[in-house]
Parts: sequence; structure tokens; C-alpha cells
Amino acid sequence: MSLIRQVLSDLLGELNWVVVYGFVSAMVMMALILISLSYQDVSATDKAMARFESADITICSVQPIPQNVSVAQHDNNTGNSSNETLDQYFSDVFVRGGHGGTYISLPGRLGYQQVYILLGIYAELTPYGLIADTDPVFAVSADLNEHRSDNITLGGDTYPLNTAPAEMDLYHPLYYMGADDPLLQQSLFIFTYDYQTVQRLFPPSEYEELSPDIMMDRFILSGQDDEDIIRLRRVILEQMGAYIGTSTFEEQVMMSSESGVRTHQFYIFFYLGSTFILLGTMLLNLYNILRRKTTDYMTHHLFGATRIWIFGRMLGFALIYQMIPWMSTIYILRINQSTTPFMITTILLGGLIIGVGIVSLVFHSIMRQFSQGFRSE
Amino acid sequence: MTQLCATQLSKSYHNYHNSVQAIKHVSLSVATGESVAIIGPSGSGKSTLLNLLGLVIQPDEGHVKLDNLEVSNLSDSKLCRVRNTTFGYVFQDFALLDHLTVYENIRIPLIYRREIPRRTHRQRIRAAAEALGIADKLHRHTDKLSGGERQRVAIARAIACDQSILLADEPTGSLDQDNKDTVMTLLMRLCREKNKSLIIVTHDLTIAQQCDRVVQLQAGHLVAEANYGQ
Repeated sequence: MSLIRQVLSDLLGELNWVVVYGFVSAMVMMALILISLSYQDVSATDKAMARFESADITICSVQPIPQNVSVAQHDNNTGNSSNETLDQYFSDVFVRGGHGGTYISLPGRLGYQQVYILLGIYAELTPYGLIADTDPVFAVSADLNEHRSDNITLGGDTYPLNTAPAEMDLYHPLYYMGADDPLLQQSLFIFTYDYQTVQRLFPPSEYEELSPDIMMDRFILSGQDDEDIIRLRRVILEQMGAYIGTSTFEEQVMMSSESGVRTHQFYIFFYLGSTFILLGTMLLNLYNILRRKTTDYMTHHLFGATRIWIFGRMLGFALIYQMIPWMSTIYILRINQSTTPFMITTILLGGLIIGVGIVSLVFHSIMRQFSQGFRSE
Repeated sequence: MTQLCATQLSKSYHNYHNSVQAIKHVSLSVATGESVAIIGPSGSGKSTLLNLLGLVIQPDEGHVKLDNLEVSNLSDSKLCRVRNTTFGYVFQDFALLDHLTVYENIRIPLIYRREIPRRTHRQRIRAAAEALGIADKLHRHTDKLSGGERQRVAIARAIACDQSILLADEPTGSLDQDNKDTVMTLLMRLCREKNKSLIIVTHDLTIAQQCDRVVQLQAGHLVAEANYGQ
């Protein structure tokens, strides 16, 4: 009984720190859980952005014809008239090795919630990472995995069905859909470099959704030069009466909320770093509290408390000192529905290891000091 | 009758750079009820010898016997038991726990003495406090007491379990002359009236000469011995 009294008396003497440590640790745990959930979102977007960055993508968007551009400058931007048709242009840019890419969605077609056609270089810019000799490639969303060995007949040909990975997302700086987006479930993805293949699989007479406006909605370029951009602008101006504005991917990121993603990453690392520093400080505080009690422990050992008794007293203090953070952490996990046996075991084991580690450090130091003897000045 | 017998004690202290031999082959016996003063210059090994005799530290060589039983190489639990039942310690800086009251400080050795029932602790503490003239201060924290009062609390703690051997390391070193005299009078009275052995380390020859025997250390060796007892 006296050992328990001593432990409780030690705790009472440090009650203010016990409470502070408890609340700080609980706040830290809550922040870690929220950061973890937030980071899962940021991480997926960041990977998609990295794919666009490495492919040196230029974002193209249909804009009103600029009013303040001079005739000469306008001619420079669009080049001389050529009467090239959109079909001719698309056939030239949407090929293997071409500079163009886009994706189109066809809702409710072929028995799927959505049919996504990833055309040109866009076929390489998803987690599916299509660089294949086979073209086109058909893949169902991961929730339709049971259809993987089925076939699909389209445009007079039969094609095997693959399965897109669970992390399949669709990224465009203005239209990001994450892997858990409902619009990507129950869906068919068609990857092809070739515009003519799309025309064959989806005849314009039957698929009016495949209009030039839709093709240009998410149009991108990669590895193009100035002549390519002039040609694009000329074709769109002559055939659609619209002007194409371009911006590099980096410029687009700066302008859009995607810059918030990068900033978010910075805040995450800052928050994590300060979290660990704070937790480390509190553990250091536990160490210092135990060190402050050195005279107590040495005096008790001198007058008859065994080493085991002293260690037990120190360990009891350290473990109860951590009781509030443990309980708070488990409570926070419960309300986030994350109380798996593994998590609880990890938390309790982690606390025990930390407690035993810090106590052992201080205990060893105290016993070494005691073995030097007591001496007066 | 010889109560405490130390034979050929040697002790060295080691650090990263060198090794210092603090005590070299010292032999000393203390009879029941005898008072022995250990004198010598600073660094002569006086405190080390006292720690060896009081089983606080272990000798590198030699033996300590208590009532003819070997005690210098016991396990930790047995050493703690012997320290608790046999030795009372008094230090120059009092070694009190100032966040505790006088009562709680005196009680410390009683906590670990299983043979003494808890219900008798209050009576024993009060008796020890009365013997030292501090019974009216039991519920005060020790940091609120004067130097002389604090040393009396330390002595009360040293006799609370009826320990038979008192070890005092410069017990009057932090006190003014009046308190020095008071504390020494109390120690010598306890020694004589309660038949307790007293081993005291001191620089002060006038204190040393109050003891039955004085031994002198020099560079870790016992170099001289004189009897002043009756």
C-alpha cells in the first residue's frame, strides 16, 4: 500500500504538469489523426500533379477573342489561314507520339454510369500509366473487378476488359476527381492514342456528345513548340470562331486552387514537425520531473527502499502520468471510428515503452549517483 | 562487544580520465555504545570510509561485519534491510525532503520497517521528536525550520527505527556555535543513554575529543588513533 501512496503523492505534487501533458498530448493525437486524413487527400492530388509536371503539360482553354490584341499580333498568334478541318487537326495531334491529349466522359453509355475516353497523351497521365502496344485498352473501375475477364464488343471488334487500379483518378487543374469520387465508380475507361480509333468506336452519328467543344474542354499539349500553338489557334479560330489561351502547368497551378495543395503540404510538414517537437518537449518534461525527485529516491533508498521499490515508484508515476493522454487518444480514435485492436495495442505498448525507457534512464543515473556515496562539503 | 568490524577496506573511484584510490587497506572496529571520530584533511577519504561502514557503497577489497556477520557483499534487498534496521544517517546538509513535514521526514525509515506496525508510527515519531526537542514542530515543513532544528529532525529520523549505529558526516558543519554545541550534546547523550554506537566525521578537534576514540586518515590510510574515552 505504501508504494501506491508514494506514487499518488508524487503525482499530486506534479498535478499541474499531469493535466497540461494530458491535454497537450490529446491535442497532438487529434492533430495527427486529422493531418493523416487530410494528407491522404493531398497526397493523391500531388501525385497527379507530379505526372502533369513531368510531362511538361500546357493547359489549353477556349477563351473570348482578345479585344486589346492588335491585328498584327493576332496574326502572329494564329498564323495565316489554312482551312484545316478539326478532323484533320485531331487526326494529326491525337496519335501515338502526338502532342495533344484530352478526355471525354459519356454518361450512361454502354451500360456503365460513365464511359471515359482518355485520348492521346492523356492516356498516359492516369494511375493506370498506359504505355502499351495494344491500343485501345479497356478497363473497368475497381468496383467492377468481377467483370475483369469479360470482353466488350465495340465498333465491330471484341476487346478484353482489364481493371483500373483502386487509386484511379482523373486530374485536370480545373476538374479533379479523386479515387473515391462516385462519378468514377461503375465506369468504363478507354485508353487510346488514336483519334481515328475513337471515331470508329464511337461514330459521330450515334455519339453526338463527342463534339469539338467537348474535345477541347480538357485539351492539353505536351512537348509542343510555338508553331504547334499557332496552328492550334488558327484551326480553332477558323473552325469554331474561338480563341485558345495557353498556360504552362506551373502557371496554371499558381492561378488555381492547386497552389493551395502545395501550400497545404507545407503546413502539414510544419504542423507535423511542431507536433513532434511539442510531444518531445513534454516527454523531456517527464524526464526532468523524475530527475528533480532524485534526492527523494536516494533518501528513501538510503533508509531502506530497495531498488525494485524505487523503480516501481518511478514507473508507477510515469505510467499514470501518461494515463490522460492514453485515454484521450483512445477516445479520439473512438469518435473517429478508428479503434482497432491494433491501434489500441500500439498506443498502450508505445506508452509503456516510452515510460519504461525514460524511467530506466533516470533510474540508472540515480543508482550510479548513489553508488558514489553521500558526502558533505 | 565489537558491533561493527571493518577489515582491510579499499575503495577506488573511476572516471573517464583516471582512477583515484580513496581508501587503502583501512581496518576499524567499533564496539556497542562506543563513539568514534574520524578526522583528517579534505580528500583524505573520511566520507568514503563512513559510506563503506554504513553499507552505502561497496568496497573493492575487504569486509564489513556486523555482530560478526558478513554484510559487505549482500544483495540489494538485504543491504537495504540492514541499513534500515541498523544505521541512522546524519549529514552536514541535513538531507531532508523539504516538501515534506517534520513528521513525514522522520517517518521515512519506518515505512520500510515491516516489523513495526503502522499504528505505532505516530507514537515512535513523537517519542523521537520529543527526545530532540522538536515535538511542537511535527506538522511544519522542514524548509521553515532553522539550521539547528533541521539537524535535530535529521537525528530524529536516524533514531526513529531504534537504529543501533549512528553515522554522522560533519553534522555541525552548517551550524553556528550554539547549535553545534546543542547538536553534539544531543548526539553524545543518545550515544550514552540509549547505548548507540556513534561514528562521526569532523574537522573540528573539539568535537572529536568528545568521542571515546579518534582515528586520523591521511591520503586514504589510517595513520593514527587516540583514546579519549572513560
